[in-house]
Amino acid sequence: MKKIFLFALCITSLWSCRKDNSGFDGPSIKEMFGPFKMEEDFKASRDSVDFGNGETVLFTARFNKAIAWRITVTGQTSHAKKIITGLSKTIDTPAGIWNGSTTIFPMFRIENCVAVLSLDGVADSFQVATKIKSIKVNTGLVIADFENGFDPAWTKFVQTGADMDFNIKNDGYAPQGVKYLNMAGTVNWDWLIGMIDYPASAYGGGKTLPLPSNPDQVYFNCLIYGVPNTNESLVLFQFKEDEHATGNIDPNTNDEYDLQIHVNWTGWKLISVRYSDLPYLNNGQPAVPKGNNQHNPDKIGKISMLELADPSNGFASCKIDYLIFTSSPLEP
Amino acid sequence: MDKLKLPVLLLFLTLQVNALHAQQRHTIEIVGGARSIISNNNIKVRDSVPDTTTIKRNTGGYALIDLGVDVRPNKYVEILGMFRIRNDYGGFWGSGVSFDVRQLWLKGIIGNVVRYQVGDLNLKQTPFTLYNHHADRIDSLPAIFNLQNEIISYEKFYMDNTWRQQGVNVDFGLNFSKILKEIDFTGYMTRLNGTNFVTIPDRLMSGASVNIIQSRHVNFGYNGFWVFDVKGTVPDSSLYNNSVNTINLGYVTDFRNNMRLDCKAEFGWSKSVWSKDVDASQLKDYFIHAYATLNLPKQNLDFTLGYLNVGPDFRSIGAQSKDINYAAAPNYYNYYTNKQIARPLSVFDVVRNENIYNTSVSSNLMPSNPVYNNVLPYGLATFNIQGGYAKINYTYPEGIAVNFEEYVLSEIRGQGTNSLKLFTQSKLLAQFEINKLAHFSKRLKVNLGANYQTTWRSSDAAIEDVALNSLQFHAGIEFEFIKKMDLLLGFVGLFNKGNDFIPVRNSYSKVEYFEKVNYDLSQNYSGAGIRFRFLSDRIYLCALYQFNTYTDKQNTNPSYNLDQFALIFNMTF
Amino acid sequence: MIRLLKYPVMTGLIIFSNLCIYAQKPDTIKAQDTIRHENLKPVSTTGNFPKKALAALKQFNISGYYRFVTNYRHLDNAYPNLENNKNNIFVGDDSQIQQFMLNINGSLVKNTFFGCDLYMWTPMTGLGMVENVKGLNLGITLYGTYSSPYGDFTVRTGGINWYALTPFTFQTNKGYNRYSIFERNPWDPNTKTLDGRYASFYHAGAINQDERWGQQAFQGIIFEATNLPKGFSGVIMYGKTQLNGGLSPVPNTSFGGKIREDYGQNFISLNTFNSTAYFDSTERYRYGFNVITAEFRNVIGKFQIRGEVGAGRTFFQDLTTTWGEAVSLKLFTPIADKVPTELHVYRISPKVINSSSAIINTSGQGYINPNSDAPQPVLPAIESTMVPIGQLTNNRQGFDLNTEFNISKIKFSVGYSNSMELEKISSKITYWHPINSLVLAHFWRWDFPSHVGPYNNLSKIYRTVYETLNLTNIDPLTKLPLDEKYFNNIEINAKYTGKLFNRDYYIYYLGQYSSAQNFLAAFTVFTEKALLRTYYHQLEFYYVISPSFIWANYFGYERIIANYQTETDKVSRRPKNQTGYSIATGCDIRLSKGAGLYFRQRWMNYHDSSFENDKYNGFETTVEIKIFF
Repeated sequence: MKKIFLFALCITSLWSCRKDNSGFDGPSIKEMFGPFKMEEDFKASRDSVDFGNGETVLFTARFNKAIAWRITVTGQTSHAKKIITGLSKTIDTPAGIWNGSTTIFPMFRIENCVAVLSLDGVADSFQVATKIKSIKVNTGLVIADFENGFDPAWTKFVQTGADMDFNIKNDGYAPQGVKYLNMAGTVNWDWLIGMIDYPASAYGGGKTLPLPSNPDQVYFNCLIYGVPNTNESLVLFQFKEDEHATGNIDPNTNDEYDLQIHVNWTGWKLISVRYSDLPYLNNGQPAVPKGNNQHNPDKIGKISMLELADPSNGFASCKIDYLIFTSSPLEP
Repeated sequence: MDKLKLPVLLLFLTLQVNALHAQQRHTIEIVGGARSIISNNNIKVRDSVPDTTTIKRNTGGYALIDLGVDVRPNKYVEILGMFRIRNDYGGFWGSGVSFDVRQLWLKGIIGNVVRYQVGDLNLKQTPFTLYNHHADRIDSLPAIFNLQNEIISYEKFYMDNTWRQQGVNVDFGLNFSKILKEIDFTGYMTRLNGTNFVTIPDRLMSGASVNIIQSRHVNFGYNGFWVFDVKGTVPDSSLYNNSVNTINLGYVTDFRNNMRLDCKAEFGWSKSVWSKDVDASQLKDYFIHAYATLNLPKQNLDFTLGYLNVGPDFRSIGAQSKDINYAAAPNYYNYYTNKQIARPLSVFDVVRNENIYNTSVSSNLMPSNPVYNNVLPYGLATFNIQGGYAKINYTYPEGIAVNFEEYVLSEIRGQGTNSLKLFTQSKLLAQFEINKLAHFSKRLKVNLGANYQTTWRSSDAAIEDVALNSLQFHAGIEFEFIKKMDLLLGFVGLFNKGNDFIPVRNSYSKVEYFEKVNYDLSQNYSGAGIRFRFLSDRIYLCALYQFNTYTDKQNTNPSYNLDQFALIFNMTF
Repeated sequence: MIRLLKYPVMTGLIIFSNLCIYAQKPDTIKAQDTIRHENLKPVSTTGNFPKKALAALKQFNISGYYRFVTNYRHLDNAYPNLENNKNNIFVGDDSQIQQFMLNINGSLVKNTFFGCDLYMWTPMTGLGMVENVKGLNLGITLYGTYSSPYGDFTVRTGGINWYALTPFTFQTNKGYNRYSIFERNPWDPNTKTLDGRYASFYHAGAINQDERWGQQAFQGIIFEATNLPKGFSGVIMYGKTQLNGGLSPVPNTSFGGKIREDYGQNFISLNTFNSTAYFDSTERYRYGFNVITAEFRNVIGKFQIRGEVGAGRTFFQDLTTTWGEAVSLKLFTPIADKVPTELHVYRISPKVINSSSAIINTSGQGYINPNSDAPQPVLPAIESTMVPIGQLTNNRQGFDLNTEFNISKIKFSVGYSNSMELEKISSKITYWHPINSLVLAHFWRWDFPSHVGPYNNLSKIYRTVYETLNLTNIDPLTKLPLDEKYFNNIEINAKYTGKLFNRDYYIYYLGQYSSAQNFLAAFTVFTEKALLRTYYHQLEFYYVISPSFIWANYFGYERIIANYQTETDKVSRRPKNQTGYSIATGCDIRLSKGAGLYFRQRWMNYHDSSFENDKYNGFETTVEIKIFF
């Protein structure tokens, strides 16, 4: 019996170890399921913001209970939108920070904006105004934003099909800046509608692109617009490495990695892909690259961008803008 | 001497051949099994608007083979590689075929002392360190349902309470002649997830158990369990660390008339840390679990009294991972009604749908489902709970086993209020092997079981009140009406009524929100079938029909019926 | 402090001075393979599981074959689809692509087995590993038997299982063994001796057939009961035929079975086969058929009468046809004890549609579920088809007479057939091109297209191609023919063996003379009155130069002539007038035991003198290596 008593004593001695449990976990149920009350008004930390210099806007508010909330910032000129959502009792840093990025394209411009706060189950909405003095700057290597037209160093090939339109446009559709590239036409004998080669020499004069060597830290991004009610386009990017920096890329001894995009959506969409995730495609199927079989973004000698479509389908069309390499997925 | 030459030479050659033969016989063996299932399923949605969208009947199935090559190059090493070849029902001429590696491991003994295994492991420690509690599975399930439940266990590598891991395990024992009898040591290290080189670091899980047997009466031990992110596998990231350290004690003493008192206890501490995240607070807490069992062999009775206290911040992902992932898509009538809303899971899924079951432990605290367990959703490792329990176990040697247990528990810290929830669980399981009682050879087994759970909270503010009652009961019969051929019948009922608040937690398991739920659910699941056993119980052919009704009187989700006719030909060990 | 530490340290020293180290009880390392310490203790309740060894299979077998086959084809004149590919190299066999086949089976306990057939194929186009193909050809089968005092019971699940019930329910046509053996099929085995293939065709009337001969593929469950009391036996099958195939969960299922009683040399069985496919998830649209038959055999003295009598119907949504009759009776007798002769009388209603039976469906658009993602490798010819003797089609009645006799060393197998359609359903006639059958099938690799060729009237099924001929004597409104069609066919298969320079040789001739016309005729109509006449001649010569080398030769000639009641060419304004030749040579070489090399070189020339674009000529070279193990 003595041993059993000692046994029990040994265990019960732990009681004193626990911290105070007088509080409770989570938000108060009484508050949560009671009536809603705005305890602190919805505010923006700035009435004008210089995103280009790294400034941000902090939206704040406080409620009497945790609640699902949604802030929609709309550009009054561009109609770009940024949507921020959360479920909390307060809106504060970091959830309430807007760095100038866009959720629904086009991107924001220098313009007036209105931020609207809507709350789950609450009929009222709240709004504040802010003004963009300079837009967000994305750090990276811009391959093409088409703002300055075609670079003479690029090589363009367009098939002689029907209704061909492989031109830079300025018609209000651009998601970034004011211009974008339109790629459209009917080529009923071949998949290729048109293509552009972006040689490394166009970006600093070297034989390879000035990118980091770690393929896990290089992201390729672009914005593509799927035109409603047209046939599916296939946008193919070929990243051709010049492993020996000869300036003359032999496809039989160098790696090529490919990004094939089926444009099966409507409107602008951001494509972001890590360079190390790209496969080599042979006739659309993954295959073993022909060079050193290693992703070397710093050895990319040329990027070919091809607009393809099934020849039996007829007319195909899509738009493209803002081809950029970044160190993390682009937050436009 | 020369006369002996030839016989000796012949004998020597014979021995050589025998030795070679023996070596060949054991060098490579093939292990594995096979299974074929064809099922025909039917759903009837009891919605106000007739459902003309959901596929009414659903046929499916597959045949698969697991082929393991068991190689033993010498008596100290064994390697197993197992392929899975699967052919979906309806796939002709090569379509619907998949090939997978099901398991691969190497094991052996170093110096006749240390046993090791590398590769796939099935690991278990104690209920508070690494343990698959199967908290929501129905105990003593009737055979008509258990056949498919066992297939889930096979598919997910559940061996009682183990979790499937990949890594290395070593164990060895020390034997003593004085003071201590022996010490057993087990240690392992596995990888929970690999890094993506950007945001997700390598996460490793390791553990060690030292069990010391002092004598026939006294044993004690230490168990350590650690999950940690490997620094430097991603740039500048918050690193997670969960450690659990426990001590287990055991004391056995005998009384007169062969009575025996078996006291066991485990207590310990846990700590969960996210190194950089400002939102994450460090969680530290302890637990105590102790029980004593009085064994009365003459009366065929065992009495157990236990005490359980698991702190609100006690976190042990090895013991608090659930086998059922309620957020997973069942891949079986995922959506229903004309609006194609997500179909709520039913007992039918819990019993037979392997798609909602996990193979390995989860790094995040998995959500529980009050419909299936509202008292101990994480088994004994359920946190924020304290109280006691009693068990009575009666085992008649000739075919009767009855087990009754009663848990009375309460929260330690309130959830959204200072008022605490109180829980009770009353569970009765009984099995009668009537053929043994009546002394006839053909199998006639009856299973009965019930589990009644209550959750109750009373507060000054009525809105905080909780009252949720759940009753699950089942009955089953196995009757061998022709040699090796069994008639199987079974029924499972599950009823939930009342309200509760389900905590919605963030990735640090901190409560952010409460979802208010009201239940008035009733589920009936019945089945009948005929099974033929080929020599072993695990090699059988079974034709079965199961019928399930899910009735939501609150109409939160439209009610539905599911039924299934299935043919299962199973060959596994 | 030192005093505090003294006791633990001393205790530790005492403990460790007495320790001995041992390994815990091994689990899956077998006890007999492991040095066991005498102090082995019960295994720990923590750590890695299982703590006991996995049970090994009681039996495990791997067999199979390697078959390398490659074709080189050159065409001087080609069909339009091959205009840019007149020279073609193809490695493999697109209809049976396995190059390396492993038949794997194992047994866990007595009387239960599982098996699968794993294949690999490399097309050798130069792409290397990325193009290699692997898979299961037939799938995975589980098999179990149980013997009891009441009978023996067998269950087969998974699939594909090759199985047959009766000709009207679930079977393929077995025919009368009148065919050419020059081309080798993927399933042809290597015979024990190199000339075994040719010798057995002479002596036994058939080459060694694959076990699937006459059987259909079935996936699902087949339950058989044999040796039941009073001579009863039975089968129940539930699952999918290849026409039900596909991975869609929408129900698309067949079921059938039979109960049979054997008494003496005789038997009678009741049989059924049924199929239902749904087109939509809510089961408002369905399509299927039911067939119920009785099969019997009765031996009376030297006479044997056997046959199958039954009925079938089809349904589409809510429309179900009435039952139609299906009768096939065979009277067999050895005339004068020397000339085995069989009279076959049959009548099959157009309402009997069962594409899983030996009956070719000529009365409808075939039975295939549009939801099915399965290929259609064996969809039979539709429309009014001219078939070899013994092949049953629906919407037809008639009789066949088949006999075998010897004149000296020449063995004859002769068949006569006379049949007519029951209803005027189709304004088309389909027929075959057996002379260059396989080469023609190679013109369309991988799939089985219909209505292709220069005049869109060729359709490929499996390893052959059939052609469709349109009749012009039709009702302008209903597009149905104005007359019934009648079919006559005569087949002669002659076989001879002898010795040349003390070496065995075999000569086989197969002649088939058929006609389709719109009047009843006693024999094949050899005049312009026939809507269509087809004459096929195939002569084969095999010379066994040595036990390891056989010289194989083939000559084929076909003439197909239609009359002016059929569609004519828009330019020549003449009906079909087709001529085809084929001359081939080759050799069989025994490489080693179970291994053979087979070389075939075929020159072919085909043209239709009325339809200018319907022509091809060139050659095809085939090399095959086949090794069984």
